[in-house]
Amino acid sequence: MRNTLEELEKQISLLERRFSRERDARKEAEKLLEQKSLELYETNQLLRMENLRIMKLIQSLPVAMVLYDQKTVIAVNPSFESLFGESPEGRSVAETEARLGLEMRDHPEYRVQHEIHKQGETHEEVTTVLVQYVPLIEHHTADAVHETLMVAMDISDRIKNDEVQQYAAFQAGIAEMSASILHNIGNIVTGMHGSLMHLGRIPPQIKRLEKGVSKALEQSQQAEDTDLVATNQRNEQVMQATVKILSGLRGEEKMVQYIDKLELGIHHIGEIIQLQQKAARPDTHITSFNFPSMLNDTLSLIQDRIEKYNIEVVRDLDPKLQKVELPRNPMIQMVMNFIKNSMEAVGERLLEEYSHQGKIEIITAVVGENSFKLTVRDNGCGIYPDRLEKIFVFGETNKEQGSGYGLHSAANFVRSLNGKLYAESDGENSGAAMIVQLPIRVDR
Amino acid sequence: MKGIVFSEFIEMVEDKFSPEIADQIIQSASGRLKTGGSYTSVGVYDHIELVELVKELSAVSNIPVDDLVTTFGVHLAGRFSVLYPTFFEGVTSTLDFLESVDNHIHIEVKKLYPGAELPEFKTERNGSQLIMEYSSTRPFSSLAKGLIEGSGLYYGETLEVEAEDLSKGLGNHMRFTITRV
Repeated sequence: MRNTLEELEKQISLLERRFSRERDARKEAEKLLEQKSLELYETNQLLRMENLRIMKLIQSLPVAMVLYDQKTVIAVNPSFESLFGESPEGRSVAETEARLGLEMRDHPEYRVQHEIHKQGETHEEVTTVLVQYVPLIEHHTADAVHETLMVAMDISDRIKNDEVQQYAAFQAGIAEMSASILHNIGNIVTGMHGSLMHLGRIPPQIKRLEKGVSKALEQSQQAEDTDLVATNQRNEQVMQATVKILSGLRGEEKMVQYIDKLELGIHHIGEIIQLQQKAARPDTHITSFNFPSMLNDTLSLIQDRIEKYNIEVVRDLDPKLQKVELPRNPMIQMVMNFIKNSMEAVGERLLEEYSHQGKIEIITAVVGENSFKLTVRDNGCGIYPDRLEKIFVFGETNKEQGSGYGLHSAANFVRSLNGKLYAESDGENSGAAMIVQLPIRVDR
Repeated sequence: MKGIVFSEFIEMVEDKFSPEIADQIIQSASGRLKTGGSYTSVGVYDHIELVELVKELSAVSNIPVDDLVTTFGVHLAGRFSVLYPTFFEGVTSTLDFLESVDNHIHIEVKKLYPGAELPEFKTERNGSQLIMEYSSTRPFSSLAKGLIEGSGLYYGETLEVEAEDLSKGLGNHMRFTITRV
């Protein structure tokens, strides 16, 4: 009984010590918990501030941003609304994708170029944007909810600037090459001039010979028999002079070489001109591009001149004509050439009719399954009927300082794509139209 | 050292020996324990206290300190697999798991406890053999050995663990050659 009691007391004592230790541990745990709660609260406050800061930053950024998870669009900044013309905040991702025509990826990090089409007051406006998807997770798993940030930057101006610079560089290249070509042609012409001078000496000598022989013949016919000796002496003198002149002409036996040199020079000039034509041809690489966008870009390249002439530009574009697969640069060259010609035609008419309001119409129409027609029509000085076909011939121009190369080059380009190009005009001061028909897609 | 190591040690002593032994070693060492032997799993304590407790247990049980610490390591690995299953579930073998300790588990632990002082494990894999070099500011290479063996038990694999002391008896630097049998 005593043993049991002692055992019981030992157990109670042990339990008391354990309880005491547990109580101390609990107190410490509570203290730590309180400390951790405070730390958590402070961290939470910091996170809220950080969140607010980031949201303000995103709202103020000039690039469009949208945050979404696999199902819903969580947030959109004002730049996005301004660029895309709508705010999909709160909408489903599927609906937003359908409305924007843009895939909203969730992984991995990816970049894509996208076009936004918006109907402006006079024409459809196309904005090119660079879209980047940034998954806000370290490791992607199909089942876990995760967010993605989509960033879109308007790169239309950059593309236009690139095109302006590319075009300017192309023109500068042509100018530089032309100067070099003219220099080479000048050298050849100098050589040819020397040959021509040598050849030019021959006719007067032949003329002198003809004159001397004619005179000797005349005197010989008029002479009496008694003058035979004197006649023989004269004939001898004439013969000697003839031999001398012929000998002189023999000295010009290089004549054939001079003629060969002239021929060679002409041939060489022809070669140089061919080389120039070949090198001046723009890049004919076939690319897929948006046709209305290309027209806008081309117009923007010469916007300043259009404004200078106060010309109204009217677009009547077939909405069915969007993506084409054609050489873009030569297309820009051709359209620009048409518009420049139209501007100059309007300018010429303005010289006679000061109050005339210039107008250029750009019209597109899809024809059949894989073809379209582009018309650039103006109300300028017009083209005489007999010149309607000639204007596409190299060197033919209506302009005082024209080279006659622009429309010829356009005709070559259209021909290379199995297209058609022709001009229409009712004559003087009746305006003119350039009409081109091309395939929508050509094989690369 | 994290409090969970202390609380798990006391629990192991209570389970494998008895609550009386646990009480006895705490009582005997209490003069050298700042905490008086009260531990909570969320606290942080000086590792010397664990050394003192193990020494006392060794004196009471007549089992060498290293053997006790290794046994505790095996017990701790089992408890970790219950308390933190996500670290164990991602891989299918002991060697894969041990390889992930330094470059995955410890990184996650650091995120949770930025001030934690963790041992370092350098590994070199050669098929079914793993060379694992432990280095720490604390003398717990025997605990590391127990954790390695305990991990093998979790994955149901038999391992041969050879230990080469690189610390001249200090117990803080050891090379383990672990072979799956």
